[in-house]
Amino acid sequence: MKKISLVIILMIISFNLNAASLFDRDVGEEMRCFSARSLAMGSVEIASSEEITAALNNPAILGLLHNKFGFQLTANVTKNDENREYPLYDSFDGYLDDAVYVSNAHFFDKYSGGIYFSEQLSNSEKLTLAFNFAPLYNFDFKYEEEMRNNENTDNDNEQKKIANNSFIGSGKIYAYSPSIALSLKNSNSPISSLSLGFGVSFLEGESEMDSTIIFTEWAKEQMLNDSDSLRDTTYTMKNKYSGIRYQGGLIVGLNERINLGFSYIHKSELTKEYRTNSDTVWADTTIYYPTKFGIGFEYHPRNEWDTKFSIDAELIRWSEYDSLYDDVLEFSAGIEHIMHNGIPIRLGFRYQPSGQNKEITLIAFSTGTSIKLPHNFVLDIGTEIGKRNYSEMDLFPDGYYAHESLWDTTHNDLPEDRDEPDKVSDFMINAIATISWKF
Amino acid sequence: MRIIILSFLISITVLSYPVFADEQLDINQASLGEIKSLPISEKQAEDIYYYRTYQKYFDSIYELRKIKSIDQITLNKIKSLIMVHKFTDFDEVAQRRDQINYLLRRLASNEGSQEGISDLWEDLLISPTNINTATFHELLNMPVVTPPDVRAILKQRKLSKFSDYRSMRRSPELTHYGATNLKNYVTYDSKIDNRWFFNYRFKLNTMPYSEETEELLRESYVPDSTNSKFSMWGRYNLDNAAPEVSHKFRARMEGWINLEFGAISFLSKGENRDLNFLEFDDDFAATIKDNAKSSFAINVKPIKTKLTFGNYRATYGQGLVMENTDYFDRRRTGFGYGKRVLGIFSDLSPTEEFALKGGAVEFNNDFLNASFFYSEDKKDAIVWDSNENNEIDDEDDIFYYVISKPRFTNEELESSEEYFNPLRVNLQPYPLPKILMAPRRDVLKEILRGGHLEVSPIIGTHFGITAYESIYDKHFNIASPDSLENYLFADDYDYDKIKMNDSEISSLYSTKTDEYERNYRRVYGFDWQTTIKDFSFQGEFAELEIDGKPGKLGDDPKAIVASGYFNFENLNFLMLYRNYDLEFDNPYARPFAEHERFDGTILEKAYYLKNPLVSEVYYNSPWSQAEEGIYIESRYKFHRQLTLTKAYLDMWKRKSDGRRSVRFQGELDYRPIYQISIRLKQKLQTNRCEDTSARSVSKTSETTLKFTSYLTNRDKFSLEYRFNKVWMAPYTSLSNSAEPGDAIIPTGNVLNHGDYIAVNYTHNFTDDFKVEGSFLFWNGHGISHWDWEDMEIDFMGSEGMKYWFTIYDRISNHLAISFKYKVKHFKDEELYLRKYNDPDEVEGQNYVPQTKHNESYVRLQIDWNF
Repeated sequence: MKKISLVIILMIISFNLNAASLFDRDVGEEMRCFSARSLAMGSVEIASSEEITAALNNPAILGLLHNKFGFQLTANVTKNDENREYPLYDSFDGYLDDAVYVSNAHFFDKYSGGIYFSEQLSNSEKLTLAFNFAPLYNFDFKYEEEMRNNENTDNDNEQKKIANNSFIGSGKIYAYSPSIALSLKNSNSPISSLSLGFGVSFLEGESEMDSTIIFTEWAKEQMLNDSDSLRDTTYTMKNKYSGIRYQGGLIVGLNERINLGFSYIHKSELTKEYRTNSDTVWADTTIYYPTKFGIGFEYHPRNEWDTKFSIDAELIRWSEYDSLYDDVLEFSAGIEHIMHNGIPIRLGFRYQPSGQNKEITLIAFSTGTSIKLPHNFVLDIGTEIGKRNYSEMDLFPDGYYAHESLWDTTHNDLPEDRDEPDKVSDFMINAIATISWKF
Repeated sequence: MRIIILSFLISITVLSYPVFADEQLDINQASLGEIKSLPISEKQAEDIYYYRTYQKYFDSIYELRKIKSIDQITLNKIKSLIMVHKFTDFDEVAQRRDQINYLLRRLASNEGSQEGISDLWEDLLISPTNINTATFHELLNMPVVTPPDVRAILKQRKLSKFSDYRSMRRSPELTHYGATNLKNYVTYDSKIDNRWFFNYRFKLNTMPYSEETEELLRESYVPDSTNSKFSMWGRYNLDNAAPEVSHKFRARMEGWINLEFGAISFLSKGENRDLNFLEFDDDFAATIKDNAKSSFAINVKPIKTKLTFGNYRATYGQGLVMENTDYFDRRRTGFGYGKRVLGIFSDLSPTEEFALKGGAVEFNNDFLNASFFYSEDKKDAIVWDSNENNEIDDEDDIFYYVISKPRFTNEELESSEEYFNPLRVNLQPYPLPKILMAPRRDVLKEILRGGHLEVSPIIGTHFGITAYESIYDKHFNIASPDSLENYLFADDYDYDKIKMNDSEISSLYSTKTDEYERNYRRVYGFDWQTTIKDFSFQGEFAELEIDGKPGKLGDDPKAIVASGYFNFENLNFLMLYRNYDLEFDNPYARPFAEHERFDGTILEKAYYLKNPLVSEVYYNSPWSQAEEGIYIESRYKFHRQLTLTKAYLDMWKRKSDGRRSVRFQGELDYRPIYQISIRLKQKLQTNRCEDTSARSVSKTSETTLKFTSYLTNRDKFSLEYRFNKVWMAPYTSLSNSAEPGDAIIPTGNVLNHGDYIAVNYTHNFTDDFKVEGSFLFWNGHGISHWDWEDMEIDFMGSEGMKYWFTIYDRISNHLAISFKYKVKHFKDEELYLRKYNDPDEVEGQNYVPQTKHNESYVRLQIDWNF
């Protein structure tokens, strides 16, 4: 019991960590899966899962759960390394390399959970009810940048810091989702099992984005007597979201080895209330999060290490969110082997193009295992490493700081905005733990 | 009384045994219901059924104890009620696939193999060949098998058919190696099962561009600007290039006819694509049209005729007339791992530029091999402003074929030129000319028709002729040596960079000269092979028709390869002579060579050219360089513990400038016990050995020591150390301080040295799950190391470290996955100093440090067979 308490305490502590990817700041980072097993298997959740929270992607998964009653809690901690670079050239104007001018590494957390109850209606029919909560879209991110001038460093002087820039987001859209599934079995039929599921998700959430430029005391002193001195700025935007979403699914057991899963998540209509700063009044608009069509495949072959292999493909119609966005196909694949000693090892792969630009893709691979705890508790752990590269204009353009009092203009001009977008690389490490109990 | 009771019980037991035996339940065959009828709990019955269904069949009843819920008491209770009939889940196709994978890894680890070749082997070997009906060529196409081995088999087959491997192995004069190499790829019965096989393969690869490709693509078209958009790299944001993705599907049926069809869509790294099949639109259709290949083949066995439609591959003789791949393999002798697969086969490889598309027919029996092929396809090529109207247009002529990576669309190429040109001509103080030489996609229509006729009067001897004609809708037009500078260079300041070996460019074939104007290229030749006991002699002679007289031999640019091969039980010996005229410009030739064509020419130096992309003609060259030379190779097993695994000596002359070179490599394998292998490899090469006072002399020495320990369960651990030395003429960037004013070069030669150390471990968790990984640290001062990783070659310059691991997971007999992850940290020489080779060019501003790079990549492959 001490072990369980420790795990729960650690999970609760981790809830207070903060920040995610800046790339998803407008739409929110889309959550693909909600449990350690799924994440370790590349986020497959359409035809293969043993988790309650998978019902958020395909409610028919509930029909695959074996026990009568259970619950689970999941904590997910992500470290995101974001580096922004611009190119360096030699004196022949030849490209040399890219220099990192700002590096942000921050942690963020998410948590989710679910509970279910199932009742055997007859030998071949089972009804399962579940309730889940989970963040579907995550707006947490943190970006901090120092702005320094061009003061000569020959005499061991450091370049003077002019300002601290920051861009911080927070908030999530949560789903509170009751689901129901009916599963049928008939070993004499060409279709050996069938599970039908339906769920409704009540979506609630809010987000906030703060963008600030705070000049240093030194900079303020330099500009003290200037009529055009640059001032500290803070810009805050708040959003509130509320809406509803429906999801349904079907899992067909073709035989004792193959399951096919189909999922459909209807376009979510959300009311978005927003205000651009604390002085303005709240306004509202309607936004649409995209429809998703998923197809999944699970294969359970004969293998010395008991093995399950699963592939999901999901079409996400991001053009419903914004007509300039791309509809994309996401792929996930995962394997679970149970070794001779009963301990599972899981491996996964995920290919996730972005709706903002389908050429920008997140490629991730993952691994994980499971530990049996006393009293029917199971702790699943997993980790995922992902990488995404893209280009973006400077978030705080240099020209804004071009004040003559702050720069040495003896030999150089005042700084100007860069014309070219900078290279951005996101490197993410996800660590996830799910504790579950089934009876 | 006790004795009576005991006797009674024994007799009951004995008497009832047959009854029990009849009623014993075979737990490898029983249904779940039958297992539940045993005196065990429902959970235990389900666990037994689960184990058998999802893990393995039982080898004995005692294996039940591996199931957690079955304790010894339960086993004792039911063991008289159950039995196990051994049942193996053997799948011949899955096993063959494993053998092919093993072979491909050996091919890949043998320097020189390329991905395109692997695909062909894989396609060829997946269907076993019936040894009792196969022709000489069909058997010779098997990996590593030699002509004397095939002759020995066919001679024995005339006396009696083979019933199994043992009967084949007993063939007189067949070597042990020959028999074992054939073993996995042949069958002995002619049973026809009309079974269909399907295979789907998905590949995803995020491998970064090679350093040289990146350098080429980063070359600025407007050199005095630091705007990254002025290079193709920056303009098309290749930092974020999409990964390489391919889908390949193949189906085949074996019966009294063999049917085969398949398709591949291949998108190389960075290609624009739209493959969202749920939105079938023009973009999708265009992507499929530009990036897909398909083929259909029917082999009517009773008349020994095969028809192939769609994309196919054709290879004959020594590859002098026809071998259509996009890949160059150095030192392809036609033996061992450098073997060619002769004949016509469906082509579902990534080869794009030299793919043949149309139809082919092949008749093949013991006496006659005849084939005819027809292809109509559009090819990528470099176009130049031959009509001097200051534009690249449809009326312009072709410089040469080009294999582009990435393969930009014509819209991308044209819009880039429109963007760069005004900036170039307005550069101050030294304007550059407009880009009037550029690659274009599918710009050249090529109709190719050809054939091959071969007779085999006796076993092991054949004579063949091969010829083809290409009809073009545009002219190939190459400048004369006198005007080559103007033709290629952007800036007349660089004109004196042209050297004698650039005659390789001016010697290319033109369809339009002062003497003739035509729309075709014709190549013809003859090949032969004769095998006498342990010796075979083979070769090919070919000519490119220039004077329009095909019947007369020797009057046109020509090429010849001839080789003799001895094959003894513990020794083999190969001697090969090649001589290719500089003007023998056959774009479909892939004969033996040390170097690819255009090596050492001005095409290596993208920064001098009118258009840096023209350099891709060299960087992706699949053609062999014009050389004359003798190559000698041997393998000798001294005794069980000591083997000369491979030794070769090559002495050759580059035809373009007469440069002579010598290269030697030898590798000794010492195995004091079976589990331990110690390998010593030495490589020596001297370029320009005929004139050691010339500036371009270079001498290379490379010594490798590798220790391998073969552990239990086929696990393997190896440690490798390599030391290289290169003596060469000094380059400022290597021999001088980078500080200004120190550009004094007192040395006649400089010595560069580098080394690396690598550790590799392979662990087989089970027969189906394997992990392999490696760490490698290297140091090189101007030396480029290479290393075989998994199935890929990697080049490493300067210094750095890398690690990688690969997971192979055969999930079932039908499904296999491999996944690779690699991280590489390395320093790169500055990219541009060598362009100028002069630190004093711009006084005080020339210190250019080395730069650090980090890169990582993943590769995923899924194979599904059903």
